[in-house]
Amino acid sequence: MFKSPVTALTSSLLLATVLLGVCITARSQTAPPADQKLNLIAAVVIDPEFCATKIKKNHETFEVGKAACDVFKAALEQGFSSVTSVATDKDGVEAQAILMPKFVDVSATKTMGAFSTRELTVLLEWTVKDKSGRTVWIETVQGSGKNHMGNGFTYKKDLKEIIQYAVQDLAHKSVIAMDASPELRKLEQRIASTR
Amino acid sequence: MRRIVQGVVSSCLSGMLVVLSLVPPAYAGPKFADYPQRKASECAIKADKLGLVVGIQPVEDRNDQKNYFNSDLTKKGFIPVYIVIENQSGADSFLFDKAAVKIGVGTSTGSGPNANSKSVETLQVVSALAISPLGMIIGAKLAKDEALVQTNLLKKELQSKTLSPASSTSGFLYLPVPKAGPRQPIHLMISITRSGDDEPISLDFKF
Repeated sequence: MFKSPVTALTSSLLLATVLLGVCITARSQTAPPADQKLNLIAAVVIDPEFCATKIKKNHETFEVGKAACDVFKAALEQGFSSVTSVATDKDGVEAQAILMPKFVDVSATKTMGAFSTRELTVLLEWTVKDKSGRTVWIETVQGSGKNHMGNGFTYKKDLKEIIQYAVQDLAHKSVIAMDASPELRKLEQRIASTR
Repeated sequence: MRRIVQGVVSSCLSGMLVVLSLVPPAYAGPKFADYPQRKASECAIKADKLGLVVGIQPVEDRNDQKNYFNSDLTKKGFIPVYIVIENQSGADSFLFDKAAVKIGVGTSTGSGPNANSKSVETLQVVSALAISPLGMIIGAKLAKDEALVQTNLLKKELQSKTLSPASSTSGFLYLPVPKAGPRQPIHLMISITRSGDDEPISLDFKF
């Protein structure tokens, strides 16, 4: 089958790479169908303080705020008819729903080997207010990501990646939770009836 | 012939390496049992108001703590308290905000409210940072297993949530207690707001 041991080894390594690639499948990013989107003009409060959120845990620093600010608006656009990003809730004057995120906590497992997989869990609390400033919905969403622990050379890159995976999961689950919320659907109906 | 044998051996070894790289290690850290979900009516302490039912079950048994958290939390100055909140209303939604939970470690004399009493209970806001043992169980030396214990504590913690009609939420709060000796009574105040209202509904528990 193989002409030489080198060919055999190369083929096996290639097979291993392909198998690993299949195992580490890309995270599903399926957005809710358009008819499930909330027909609400939303404003998400993304202030510099939120974007600068760094959570220190067990001698590690997780820059979750920066990762969230890179993806949240785009992710929320999958769940609402319109989303704008504002610095404070007062700036969302046109908005029918003000979305306020707040990081709760993070926790990461540790592994002994550089290539062992670790898990990062990030908790984020959403508070949604209506135009009058009354809270209509509050929910804590949990996102998680997995990646290699990394070694002295790859640790920073692997840490950045695991944060990105966890925050993308968080954003995706947030949209699903919002679209499935009876309270936000009720708000949507209330606004539709006044049009 | 020799080259064929070498090829076969190399292929076998490479194949084994591939298989081994895909098999998770046999030692995968501590195991955490799931705390059995229970209804509010099955809890040791319960209260209800306006269709809202809250059940509380402190987990004082250290064997149970080991089983569910892989840690003797009492020894670390915390008691895990299982809380289940059920919205039994047919139409109303309720907002449970964890930041509105208050705790007072009891110094009450049992003689009733007395403004002149020196042993007035003080309530402090329970915040995740203020009371959570997540950061405290980790000492200077971080073991791999302790990080897993920490993650398990976080995943089992009660979090803020909207309770739609006929829905419920449950989880643990980790309340501070003395590391040694008998613990004082704990006064827990859970405030929940009906969606659309401004005034919260408060439920008090002493245990």
